[in-house]
Amino acid sequence: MTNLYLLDPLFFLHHAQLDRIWFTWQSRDPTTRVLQLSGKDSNNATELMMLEKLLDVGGLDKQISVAQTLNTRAGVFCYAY
Amino acid sequence: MKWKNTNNRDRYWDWSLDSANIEESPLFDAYYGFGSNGNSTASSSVAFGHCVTDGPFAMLQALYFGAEAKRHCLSRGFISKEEARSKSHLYNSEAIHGYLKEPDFDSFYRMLEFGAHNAIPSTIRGDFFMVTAPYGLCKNNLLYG
Repeated sequence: MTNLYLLDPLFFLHHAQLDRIWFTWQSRDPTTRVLQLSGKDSNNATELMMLEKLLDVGGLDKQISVAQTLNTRAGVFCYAY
Repeated sequence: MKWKNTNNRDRYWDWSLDSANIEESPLFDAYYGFGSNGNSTASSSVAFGHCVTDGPFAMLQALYFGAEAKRHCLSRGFISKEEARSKSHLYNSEAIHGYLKEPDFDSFYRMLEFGAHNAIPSTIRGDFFMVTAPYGLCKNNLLYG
């Protein structure tokens, strides 16, 4: 979600667990929950996060929207837990 | 700890299974895991920790702490067992069941962020403790620099 703790490799497994809990929460009512968002844009605290905002990947790949990242089982992703 | 490693299954650390004594989690095993707590007889390092001196990342060198250029060894510094127990209600299985009952995204993410998300880094400390975006801000350093 918003904070990053990148040096310790445990970071990835910690965040995967947070994402898994999010995935589980979404799965209980996917129709209304998969695309639900709220809160501020962590890169620009004066703006709300929106589904159509593009994610900065530092030029490593083409940018995709927030909406494209919210379903792990469709679109650019294909994974479960 | 539970590994999920079949095709198209993401891997994760289910800390709720370790909430009774997180420092004893197999995740911190020196051989099978990511190495243990910082070594109090080794040099001190960032955020209340000492250098990790066992496991696959022993003495891993980092160039930054947060956005600050600061060469240091991979640091961990667990809070005491008593302090850790006082935070475990934020990430045990009851906590997760509670988070999953939240009715909308706003309440769900607030509970999860201020609960489990922060409890783990503030228990392990060291490099995990930094709460501002570190390497993401450093354009020339991808992940581990």
